[in-house]
Amino acid sequence: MGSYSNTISKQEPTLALFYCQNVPNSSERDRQALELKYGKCIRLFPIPCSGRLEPLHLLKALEEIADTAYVITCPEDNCRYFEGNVRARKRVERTKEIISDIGLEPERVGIIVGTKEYPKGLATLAGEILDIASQLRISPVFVTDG
Amino acid sequence: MITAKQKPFQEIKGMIAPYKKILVLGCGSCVAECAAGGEKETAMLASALRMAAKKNSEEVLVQEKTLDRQCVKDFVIELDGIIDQYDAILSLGC
Repeated sequence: MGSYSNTISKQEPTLALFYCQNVPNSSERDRQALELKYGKCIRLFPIPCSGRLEPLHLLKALEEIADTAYVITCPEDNCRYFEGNVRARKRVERTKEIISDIGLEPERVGIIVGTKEYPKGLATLAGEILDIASQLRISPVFVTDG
Repeated sequence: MITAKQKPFQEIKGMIAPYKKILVLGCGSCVAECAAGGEKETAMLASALRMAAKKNSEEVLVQEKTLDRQCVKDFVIELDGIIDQYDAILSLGC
């Protein structure tokens, strides 16, 4: 932590995906299957509620391992802790402000809110988010050698 | 009760531009209550400064620490053993 700026050679963009454990089809087995499928392109972080997410989690992900960081929350008015997903949305907005100040694209951080009518599983959402994330280049935070 | 608001990021970055080894120092009292300089905000600012440095290919060391209070000597002396490692301390205290 806090090391000198170092040069890291990064070939593929990486997505850090935080998700509420209430997301459909998001068991440990599902998580392992996704990591096996996508390899280094995705890093998955289950959390007990999206309200547990702090801006620091997203910032550390962008600083150390990921080019984009997203969070998946429960549908509106459907958080079992009532307002966890509302808090997550505000924290994602705050993180966007911070990375904009740094000079990074605010699109590197995002939030996906589940829907009650047509709930999607973790694998489906992860695929959709990876498609969005692939439109961004590798983060300038990860400088290539030479 | 003292209230505080964190300075804009670009202003802070300009202040520390001449230095290569920086300790971002938070405080767990008034500024923490105001969400301006507590442990969370200190970590966030340090992370942002490190990313900004990496993005600009700058060789800068940024580390963080939070004291319970920056206005009480008993807590400030916790820095005695580490302060010489840094060129500057960026204090988020009031």
